[in-house]
Amino acid sequence: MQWFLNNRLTEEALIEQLKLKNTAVFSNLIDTYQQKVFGTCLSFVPNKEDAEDLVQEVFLEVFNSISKFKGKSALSTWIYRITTNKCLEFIRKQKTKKRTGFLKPLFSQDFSIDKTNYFTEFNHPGFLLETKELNKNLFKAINKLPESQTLIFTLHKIDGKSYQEIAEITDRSVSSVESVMFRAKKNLQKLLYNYYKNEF
Amino acid sequence: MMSNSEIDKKVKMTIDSVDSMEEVRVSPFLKDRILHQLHTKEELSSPVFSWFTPQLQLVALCMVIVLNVYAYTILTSQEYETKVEEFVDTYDFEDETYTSIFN
Repeated sequence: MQWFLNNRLTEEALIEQLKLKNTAVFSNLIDTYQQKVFGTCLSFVPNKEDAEDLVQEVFLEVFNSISKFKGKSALSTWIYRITTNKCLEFIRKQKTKKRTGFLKPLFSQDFSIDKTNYFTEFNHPGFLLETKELNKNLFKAINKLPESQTLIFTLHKIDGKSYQEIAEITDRSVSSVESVMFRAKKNLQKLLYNYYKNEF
Repeated sequence: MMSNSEIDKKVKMTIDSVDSMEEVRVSPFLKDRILHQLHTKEELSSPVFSWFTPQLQLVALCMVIVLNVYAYTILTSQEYETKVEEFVDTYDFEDETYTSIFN
């Protein structure tokens, strides 16, 4: 087993060991992918603590669902797919909390109304202080786009993935990804234009 | 009031603001948290009847329902009632009326 760990496992051997619930191999997998998965999570969820929680969920899902992995794509692609699904699920839950938040004071003794949008709790340590306001506006606008545009724009512009990588993760063609990216940019420009026009 | 060109410039600045983003390193303790959570879940999910999987549970439930339906149809069938009456007659299990000196 030590030989496997010392030498680079082929992907098939790695998957076999993961299916056998080999925690040493799983630990190595975490070492390989945790930074990349964290980077992707932080691109969607600009809050370090929430991003780290999502990373935990991703790796637990990988460990529990590895038996369902059929090997039709690369292991990394499958891991990124789980990552993006977890991130989008998290964002959907935040939006639901925001929409139903007004019901809370009706059914509880607490009459304070929480009007914060999740994306105002901006805690992305990678952004400069001087651009924090711009970044906050950008994230709010990104999350007003349709989900497919949010996904592809975030993966390309913020996470820095190529169109080819995004096509593999989202199971689309490269031309479809380019087309969605173009629409996302247009819509984002419109949203931000209207926001700044109304603000000033 | 901002002019259209100023707004366009601000929009471009907003979208391009991500280019100045620096890489954020993940916490060095995250891996330990993941492995700890994994081990905790493994300890919790090994009950005594782990062989009794949800599929087996469903099959058992279906069998119980089928047996109950079968028993119910047997009980309510005419043939069953006839046999019970014959049995009662044969062994004289009819309800007895008691007379009392207080009637």
